[in-house]
This record gives sequence, structure tokens and C-alpha cells, in this order.
Amino acid sequence: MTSESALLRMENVSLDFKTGTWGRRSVLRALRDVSLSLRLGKALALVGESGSGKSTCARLLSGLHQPTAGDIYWRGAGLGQRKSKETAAYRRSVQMIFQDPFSSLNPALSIGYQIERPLLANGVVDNAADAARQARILLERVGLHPADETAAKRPHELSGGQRQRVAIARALAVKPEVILADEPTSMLDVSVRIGILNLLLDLKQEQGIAFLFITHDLASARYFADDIAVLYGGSLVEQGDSEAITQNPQHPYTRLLLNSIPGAGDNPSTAPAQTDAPMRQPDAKGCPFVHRCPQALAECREVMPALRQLADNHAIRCHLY
Amino acid sequence: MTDVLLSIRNLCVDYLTDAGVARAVDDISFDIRAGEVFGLAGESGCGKSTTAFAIARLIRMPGFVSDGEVLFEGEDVLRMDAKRLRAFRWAQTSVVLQSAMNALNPVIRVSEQVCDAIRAHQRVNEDQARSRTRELFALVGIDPGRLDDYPHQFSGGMRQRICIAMALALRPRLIIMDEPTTALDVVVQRDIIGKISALQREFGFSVLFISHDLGLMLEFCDRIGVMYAGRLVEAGTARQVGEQPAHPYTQALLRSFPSLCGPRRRLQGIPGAPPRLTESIAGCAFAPRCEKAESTCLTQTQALASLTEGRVVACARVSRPLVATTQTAEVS
Repeated sequence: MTSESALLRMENVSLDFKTGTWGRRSVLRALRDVSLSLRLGKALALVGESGSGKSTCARLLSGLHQPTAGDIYWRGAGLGQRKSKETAAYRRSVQMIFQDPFSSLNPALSIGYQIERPLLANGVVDNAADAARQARILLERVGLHPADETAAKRPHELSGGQRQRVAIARALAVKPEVILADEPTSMLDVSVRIGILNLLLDLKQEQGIAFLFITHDLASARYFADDIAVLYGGSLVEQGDSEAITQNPQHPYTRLLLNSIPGAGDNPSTAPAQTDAPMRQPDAKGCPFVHRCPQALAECREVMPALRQLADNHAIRCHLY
Repeated sequence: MTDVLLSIRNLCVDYLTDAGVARAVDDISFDIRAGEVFGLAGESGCGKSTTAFAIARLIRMPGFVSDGEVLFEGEDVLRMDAKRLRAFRWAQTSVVLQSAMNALNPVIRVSEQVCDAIRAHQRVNEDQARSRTRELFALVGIDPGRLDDYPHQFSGGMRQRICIAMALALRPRLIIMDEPTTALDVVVQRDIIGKISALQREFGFSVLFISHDLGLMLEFCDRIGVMYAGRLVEAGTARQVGEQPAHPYTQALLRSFPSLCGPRRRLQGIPGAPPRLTESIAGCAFAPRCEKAESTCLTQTQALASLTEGRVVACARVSRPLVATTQTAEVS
């Protein structure tokens, strides 16, 4: 994974949040020294438990947060020193799809209008007739036939899967190069999930869109993504080729995660029942997983392990390797 | 079968909506035996939670039970008067709901909430209730020293375990679990399911387990019923349903999960969407999405028919000797 081929790259990014009320302020480090890169026509899946920093990564990449340390590079140029014109172009190129298709669409507006709006606002087309025509093409593309009928409907007339398709059509409207998909299938019925994943797979292959795919389901990460990055407690603990991560996991947390999937592990989980989120102060020492790790060493409590390359496309942050 | 604990006979539940009457549960019958984990699987809106709520008499307007019987050791739960129902709930059947985050009152200490549940149904004094709560916490693996904490001081998994402790409080014969692990991470889910399994083996209660996650069910349940659009389309042991699904819907559902091992190939999923329940459905509700459907499937109602011992399926294409031909087709 060379950095030159990366379209969008996050380098050693940390992000702190101020929490607590007046008098009891504290700082929470949501992400610690995370590096990721998204490549043309490839998908990177981010997996991890809730609160591990998956969605924070997507929000950073979409520009909703500014990193506390480190920088984000778009086509090799840092975002820290961009001009407002470039920001607009960047925002157009990087689109998001959210988890909940019931709240991400405006219930009062027709589906057609919600797709025509971004087309006109971003200057993709310059008149209403073209916008309407383009919106119909997009609706057909995401599998909502007949497009004319769908365009006239309002969100409540569509099922969850259809609404998510509308959200995808809306993201596609501005011809993005990167799509950040935050758990796009987890709110959907099991029988329609695979349909949405297949649509995203087609877009990835046909239009060469780079995807950041956030999920807690390793099986769908393997199905959709080329690479998988595992986050724990705001740190990237293991990263590599999807097959390497799912077939040959090395980090104790990745192993625990894989063993916990129903039907995957025949051996019951050996991890302690302790399920508290790890301490996340900026000055916290050591590996975030140390409290739950069955193989923890003395140095794991003291020093954060460095990211070590195990194979060509497989890196891990663990003192055991 | 003599050891049947709960027997559901021709249960129907309707909801009054603006668009008319929606039949959420349509003529469902199944048995849960003593000491058994029975799973109800299906997509959202298929009526699995409504079935569970009907068993616990928790259906409120605009929903109502329009027909059928829920026999708990021969006694119809649907005909119990208020006093009998109060004695039945919690002491004989308790419920664990989906989101533990919302099931506990955020401004009341958890000890008080568990004691409350105990004292509402049993004549015990405060100290007895409290010591019982202490035992329950130990059972589900929570430090009894945290008895007087507030719900927000616990993680999601711990809160769900507190809800399970509460459900166990009076040693009920049946616990209804409505997606008890859906809002939790896989690691926590594994932990909770392991805990429930161990407790279930220890105390021998029955569980009605509701989930959309077939993979989890195949591992945890003894028998599984699959629902689609308010009807039971298939039931059998977990092994039968998992390894040789008979109904085309179950087959398609099992095919639409990506796998963690084996070759990475493109899956098909199920085209279309479940029907709206306000529209009356002639014939099989799954027929419009079914790849094996014939013209008769769209017009004739499919009744559950016995396939083998303890195995039922509602599909005309399976009840016929077609079972043998599909098996040979797979072999060849």
C-alpha cells in the first residue's frame, strides 16, 4: 500500500475531545496515531466495537472534525492549509452514506427533489430539466425502477432498503471519488442487506470509487472490502488484506472478535468478562487492549507497541510480534 | 408430547392503522417444551416480537389479539383475569427486552429496580429482596458491590445482564428474550449468550428467543421457527433448519449472509421487499419474491404441513415428494 497511489490519506492522526462539565473537565483521546489510506476503486473496511473510533475516522475524513495532531492528505496535498474553493471541491469529491436511512432523508420532500438539489447546487447540471433527467438516471442506477414513480414519492412510502438506495443515489449525484459509508446496512433487514452491498460493489468496480466501509460485521467487511483495519480504543491494532485479517488474524483482539462471531469459533471465548471501554486519557500509557488481553506482557502496560509490518500487506500493533 | 410448557394455538394479532387493519401475526401455532430454547427468526415486521408480546399479554391498543389461545401448562394466558395475570407475570414468565439502555430507569439505583420487581410479585421484606438481588448479581457475573450504582455507570452489556438478573428473580419457567443482544457488540454478545446458556442449563427454564440473526440462533437454540409476513413458514430443530432448510424463504435467508471462510463469491440476496400487512395476501406471502413460485402459489394459501418428525413447513413445492428431487439435484 504505497502512499503515492492513495487518493485520500490520514497520517498519524490523533483527535481529542473535551468532555465533562465546568469544574470537572477532562480530555478524551478518541483517536490515537491512526494512519489510513483510501485507494481508487478499492474499499477499506473499518471494524471495531462501538466507541472504538470508527465513525470518528469518517467524520475526520469528511471534514466535520479537525485533527488534533497529524494531517489528512487529499491527492497528496494536506487539508490543513487548503483554500475555501478547494474545500468546496473536496466536499463534493468525498460523500457520506449514513447508517439510518429513516433520518438521513427529509420526510417532507419528494425523492426526486432531494436528488435534484445537490445536482443543481453543485453545478453538475445547470437547469431543472437536466437535473430531473439526471436524477432519473441515478435512480435507475441504484435499482429503483421505475424512476419516475420513485421520484414522485416521499421517503415514508419507501422501505428501508429503498431509502438507503436513495441515499446512495444522492451521494452519487455529485460524482464523488470517495464514499464514506458508515454502517450502511446495519439498520436494514437481513434479506435486503446483500442487495445494498452488491450495489456498492458494482459502483466500486464500475466507477472506481474509493470506499471507507464502517461496520462491526467482519463477514460483510470481508465480502465488500479489499482491506480491513481493526480499531480498538481509538488505536489501529491490525490492518491488512481482507483475507489475511479474516483467515490469519494475529492481534489478540482481532482473534477475540472473530471467535465471538456465532458459528465461526468452536472454542468459547477465553477473554475475561470485563467489557468496560478502555481508559482514553491522552497521557494513557501502553496498549489499550492490555486489560482484556489473555497474552499481555509486562511491557504492554508501559509502552504503546509500534505498528509493525508482518507481511507485504499486513501490519499489527502488538508486542507479541 | 407431555412436557409441553407453552402451547400457542392459532394465534392472530391485528393492529388498527390508518390504512386499515394490519394482521401482524396470522394463525400461528407452536409449542415450547420445558427446558427448551425455542427461537423465532425473521425480518423486522414479520411479527416475531408481536408474538412474544402477545404471550406476555403486553399488546396494547391499537393492537389486539383477535383469535387463538396461549396455553401455559394448559391454562389460557389470554383469558386470565387481572389478579391471575399479575401472579403469572414474572413468577412464571418474564421478559428481557431489546435495548437494556431504555429498559432501566436512569434516575433510580439498579438495586432498587430489581428489588421492586421482586417485591411487586412476592411477599418478602426489603432485606430479603436485597439479599436476593445480591445473589442474582453474582449469578450474572456483576460485582455485588455495585448494587447501588445507577444504570449509566454500567456498560451496555452489564445493563443487559442486570435485565437478565431481573428476569431470573422469581425463577420463572419461561423467559421471553426479544433480541437481547442486538444492540451489543459481538464480543459482548458472545459473553451474554454464554451466560444465558449456562444459567439455562443450571435452572432448566425455557427460553423464547427472538432474533433476526440466524447464525446466532443456529448456535444457541434447540428448535427454530421461521416467520414471514406474520406467518410461520417453517419450524424444526436448529440443526434441521440450519443444514437442510426446506422453505425457499429460509434457504434464501441463509444464502444471503456473507461468510467468514470459504470462497468469496457474489451472493444474490432476496429480490423485492416483504409485503405490506394491510393488504390481504392471497396465497403464499413469499411467492412474489420466491424463485420456485408457481402460479398456484399466488392463489392458494399454504398451510403448515409435516415434513418429517417434528418438522413442519408451509410450502406446496416442498410438501410434495419434491424433497427427494432437490436433494438429488444437490448431489449431482
